[in-house]
Amino acid sequence: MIWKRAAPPPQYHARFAAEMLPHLNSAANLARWLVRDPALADDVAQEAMLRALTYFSGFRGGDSRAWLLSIVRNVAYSALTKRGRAMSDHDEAELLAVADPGLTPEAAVSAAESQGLLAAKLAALPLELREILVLRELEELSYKQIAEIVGVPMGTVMSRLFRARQELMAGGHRDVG
Amino acid sequence: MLAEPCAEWALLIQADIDGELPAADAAKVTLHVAGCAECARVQADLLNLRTQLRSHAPRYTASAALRAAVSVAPNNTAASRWRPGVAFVSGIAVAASVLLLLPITAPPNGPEANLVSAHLRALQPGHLTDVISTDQHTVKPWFDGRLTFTPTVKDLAAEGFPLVGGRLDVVNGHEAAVMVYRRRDHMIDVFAWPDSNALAASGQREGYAWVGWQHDGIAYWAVSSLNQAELLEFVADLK
Repeated sequence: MIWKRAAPPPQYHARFAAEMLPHLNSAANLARWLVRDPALADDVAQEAMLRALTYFSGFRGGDSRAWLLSIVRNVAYSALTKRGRAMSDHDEAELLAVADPGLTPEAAVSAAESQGLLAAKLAALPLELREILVLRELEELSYKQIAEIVGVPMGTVMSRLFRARQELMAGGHRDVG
Repeated sequence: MLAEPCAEWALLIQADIDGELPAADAAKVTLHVAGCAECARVQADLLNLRTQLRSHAPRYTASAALRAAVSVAPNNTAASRWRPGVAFVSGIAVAASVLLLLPITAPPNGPEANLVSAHLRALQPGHLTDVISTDQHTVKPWFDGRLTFTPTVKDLAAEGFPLVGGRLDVVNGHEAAVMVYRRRDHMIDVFAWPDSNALAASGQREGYAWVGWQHDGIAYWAVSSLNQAELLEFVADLK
């Protein structure tokens, strides 16, 4: 049996590589911060690139990094669901509820604080807060780009971002699923 | 906890440090913060957190295994571990699809791994050549119109390595010319791109051999499933 398939237009791979491979590190970074397990993150990133290659024919130009990171995020969420991680059923109010030790940064985030501790606190944030902070502070995306990737209004981006920052500064932590 | 009136400033202060405010609103924030100690503290806290995150929150990069895996850019779903693999039946495609699964687990050998991957990808049906010609006088001008450099294209049919054609490819992030030759049922890809610092090298990996050299400011890499002895013979003829 001969299996036949129509070849994609010439240079489809070359165009995809030129457009998307520069964002491979961003994809890997987001995958890692979302799923936290390094091996799973590698799988997620690879699957996302595969999917991006498939969908690339429908990409009409524009922000290629945001487009790619959207795919990475969807794949990551699927992976987490598949692994049985209970998806967050916090409502927005719960997510934003102030734990309120107040903003006392000197004790929490000081130059003396160990490198690992801040990263650990970031990793411990609830997923919905963590992803916004990573997209803003590590990937340096705009509120508008983040809103599109996450699929929430800009106002929600801003309030979640502020909450995430409060959590990190206050040194508090919450249950993460 | 911010005092009530200043609670409404918090998101504006945040938006300001995130560079999201138009100038007029940013000016209002600056003015308010100048006269409000609590809000000044919020602003300082946010800026301090940013500095801490930039220094101490790792920004992960793609692992070598991931980079090698995506260089293959598979069209098939056999490389995905979340869906059942599609069974390829024809000869070369079987070999290529089996080898596509390897990069994510096998330790790569640096940039050579990407060349082997590119070679494998090219073996997928329809991907080998953009211009099909055994005539160097057709292939060379085809490259001239598409590249800023001029790779050597030679006809080696008399030596038993007929030219099959050429294509453009992207390897390690740069555009490369690829001249495709054949010996028996083995394809030989010769990748070329400008690099006057390229060093001579050779090696083998997973049943594929490669030889690299530099000539006139262009780096060349011959990659094939052909055995290394004949590949070296090919390279000697090409030089």
